[in-house]
Amino acid sequence: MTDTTQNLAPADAPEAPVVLGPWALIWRKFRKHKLAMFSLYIVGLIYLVAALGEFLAVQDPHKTSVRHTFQPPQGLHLFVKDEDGSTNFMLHAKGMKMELNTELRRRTFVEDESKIIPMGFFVKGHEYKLLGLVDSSTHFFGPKNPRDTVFIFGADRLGRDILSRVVVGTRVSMSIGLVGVAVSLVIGVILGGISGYYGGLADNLIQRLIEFIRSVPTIPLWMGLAAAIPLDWPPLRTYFVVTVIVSMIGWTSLAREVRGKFLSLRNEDFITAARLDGLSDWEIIMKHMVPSFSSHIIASLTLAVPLMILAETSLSFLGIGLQPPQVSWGTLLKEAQNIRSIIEAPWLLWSPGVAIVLAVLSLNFLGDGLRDAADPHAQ
Amino acid sequence: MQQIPMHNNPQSDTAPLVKIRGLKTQFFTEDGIVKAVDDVDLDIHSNRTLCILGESGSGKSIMARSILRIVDNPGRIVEGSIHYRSADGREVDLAKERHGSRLLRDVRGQDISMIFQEPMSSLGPITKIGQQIVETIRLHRNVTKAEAKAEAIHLLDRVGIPRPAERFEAYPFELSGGMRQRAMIAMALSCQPRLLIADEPTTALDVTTQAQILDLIAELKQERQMGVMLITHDMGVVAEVAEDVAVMYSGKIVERGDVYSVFENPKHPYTKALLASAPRLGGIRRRRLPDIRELLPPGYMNNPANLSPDARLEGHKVAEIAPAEPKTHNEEDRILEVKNLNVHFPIGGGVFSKSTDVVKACDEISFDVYRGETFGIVGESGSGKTSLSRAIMRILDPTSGEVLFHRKAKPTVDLTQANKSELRDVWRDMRMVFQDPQSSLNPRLRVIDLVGQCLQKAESLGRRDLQARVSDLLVQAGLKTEFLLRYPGAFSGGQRQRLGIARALATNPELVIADEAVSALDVSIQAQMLNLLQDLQDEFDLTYLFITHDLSVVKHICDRVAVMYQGKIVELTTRDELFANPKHPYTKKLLAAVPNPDPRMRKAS
Repeated sequence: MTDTTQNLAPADAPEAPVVLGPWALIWRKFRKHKLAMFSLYIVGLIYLVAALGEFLAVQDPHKTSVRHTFQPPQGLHLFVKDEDGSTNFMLHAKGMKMELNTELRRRTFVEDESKIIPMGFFVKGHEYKLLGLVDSSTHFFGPKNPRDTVFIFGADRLGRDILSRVVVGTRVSMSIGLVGVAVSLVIGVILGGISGYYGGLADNLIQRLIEFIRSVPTIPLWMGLAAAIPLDWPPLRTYFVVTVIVSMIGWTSLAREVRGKFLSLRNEDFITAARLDGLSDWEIIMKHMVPSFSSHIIASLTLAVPLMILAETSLSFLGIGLQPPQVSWGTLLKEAQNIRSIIEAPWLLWSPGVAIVLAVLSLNFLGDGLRDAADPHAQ
Repeated sequence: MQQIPMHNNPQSDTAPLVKIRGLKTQFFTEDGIVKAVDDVDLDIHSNRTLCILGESGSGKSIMARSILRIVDNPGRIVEGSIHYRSADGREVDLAKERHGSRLLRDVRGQDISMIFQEPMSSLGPITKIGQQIVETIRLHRNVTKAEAKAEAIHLLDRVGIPRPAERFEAYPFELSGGMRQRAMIAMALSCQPRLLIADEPTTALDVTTQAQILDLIAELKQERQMGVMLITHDMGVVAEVAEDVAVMYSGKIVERGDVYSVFENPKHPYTKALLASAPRLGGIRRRRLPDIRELLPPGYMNNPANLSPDARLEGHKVAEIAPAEPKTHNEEDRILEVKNLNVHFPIGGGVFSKSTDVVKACDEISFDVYRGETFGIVGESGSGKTSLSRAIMRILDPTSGEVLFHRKAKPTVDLTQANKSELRDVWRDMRMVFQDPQSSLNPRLRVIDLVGQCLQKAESLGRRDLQARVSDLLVQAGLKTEFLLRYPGAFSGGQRQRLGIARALATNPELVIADEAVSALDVSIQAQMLNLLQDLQDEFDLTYLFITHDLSVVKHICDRVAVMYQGKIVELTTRDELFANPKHPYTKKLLAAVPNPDPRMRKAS
């Protein structure tokens, strides 16, 4: 409707109204999309978790403990009864006692009412480097006594804290999305740009290449590529190679989108005008074309991030992506691969599962909102 | 405006078909309320053509859409009534009906039909024309498919589509613009409407096609005794077909009456100014075109509330409109020589096949342009004039031929052979003004970068120097220096075209190619632009190559004219010779089709 309102202004008003820039308009439209706004906060929160990681972890995610294998989640409680019977406020968790159930022939955990573990904020815990720079041992939340252990989301088969592992795994899983998308962006924009701007033979070759890549089934392709990663490589290098593998597919759809935009923009008058102004091809692309569709690119990138996250997760789940001791949501899910652990310790499945679903959904809603806001024709 | 007496229809003493009273349609946007239609009273009678005349943005389309209740969100009718008298004499108030009510749907299409400016976008692209008409017929009438098909073919025949049975199977893209508009009219007529609303039905069409469509509408009106409401900005169209006229400005109807009284004895200053500024084919060529904004007392255009009916036109400005002095040019001093230029486009052919044929967009075109003159190229859409201008500038590569550009201080270049760096140099001395100022200005750049881009490229100026130079250019083009940091979205159509002109003049060019530079603008703004271009030509000794389909523009600005038809130049002569004594039959046809803004000079029909 913006067109109509513009047309309705007096035909040649002497004072032009101050009109918002393109980005301000997108933002104004985006803000109206409630779900997308909410998702924006969630995504922001998730990336905050990814950045702070260990600071938010309750325990050392790598610390194993035989006595706590497959311990179920512990609840948090607010009030304690004193000896004299009065109720006091104190945030705490109840300790858990392991018992051997001879009938079922397995270990069960029961709450130990007598053992109270006081919890607190900004407590001392294991040592880590905040943002990879500052040495610290302060944690946002945890047991006040560093020697106590609390498993809010339960423990895995080695007695490691799932919550801390999910928190720490956020960094790898969320950043692999970003890095993967960044790699796709570079490849996609360059190849898509060449394809769309020059057309002809280059266009033909690149489009056929994209069709070829897309026609190969994804999982076997990834498996083949991932199988080529030597097992003795350091985790960081594996991580990098995995992102590259994941973005091998990701760039194709982006390249097509960029090509489409270039094709439609190439014949726009303002591009011809820029050519006549003496700008070189590169200047035209960077100054005129890329800014015109950058909002679309951002929207499609946001929609590509969850695909990357899912790709990493599926690779790691299949055991061909990241390898332990690297912690990611995919490697965490791998723990929940067998029926036994799902029946006996369902928290192994749902803790990373919920994190993945939450991240993917909120990124998708965010991307949808951005796309609608960036599209001038959407109502 | 309440004082304007209701027009009494001398020919029909029956009650009006549609009676609009106090209609207000407003748009509730985030930037505030826009009063698109502001207190409009109007009567539409059957068997009469009412023309709504107004510039773009005057609210005439929204008014028409309000009748059918198809105003898009966030627009709403906030006040007023639209009384429609149906065939059985009952009266309903369309403004009060609920959206999507049975009655509204029945009235739309069955009683009141509408046709739009751009038939391509109003017809479904993937459904056959005939099928679309059949659908409309069957939606409103209880007939069998076979009957509907027969009716559709009959309608196609009636609106003058040759071989209607064959065209029944055609898709919209297979038809030309004029044919599509005919098909659209056939669809609108399919339910025998009692009122036809035509929103700029011929604006997107060529003059010759326009004349045919207007004739068709007039004929059908007579035949079916229906009311016609025709919305247009073109005084010529009004003079040609209207019986009643209502002039709209800024959401209000400022004047109404029958066509002769409005044209011969306009009461409102806006109507007077509009009539004075209408481009005419006949009469003497004037030095400057009268400009509505100069004719009206200052402050009028900006504040429509000031527009009282008893204001006077600025008399001295009307008097200033003096005849132009004939210009003479040295025929030895050529600036551009086009020799045997061909532009061919292959048709057909895919990955594995060769193209089957070529379209000759420009076929052996040769002409010279003399320094200091304005050379016009006229032709309908599809005549190859745009391909020609683009081939001259080497925006597209010509198939063969020579384009020699003689500059004052630099050596002559053959543009068809020039390499990239030579072209960049040529493009500083040969600039282009584009048709659509909206699409030729990147909405994401500020004015300083848009206008200054070529300067920066040519002279690599610093930001401060650039600012000074662009400011000068803006002033030359009649804009303010405060606009430097604004985005093009903040400007009106006329101001944007001024930006386009400022940008074209930035590098002190010798030749400016204006490709339909004023066609997308309102008549009043068109006059301003033409005046501006002429002033700049005198000041900077410019040569113009003016490409247009509008003969009244040619008449006003060009010294010599080439008429293009199907890729060939069929006539090349001086302007006076062309209008006084056209030789080629196509030129004659073109001249005859131009509507004359004088209802007394109506073509017999």
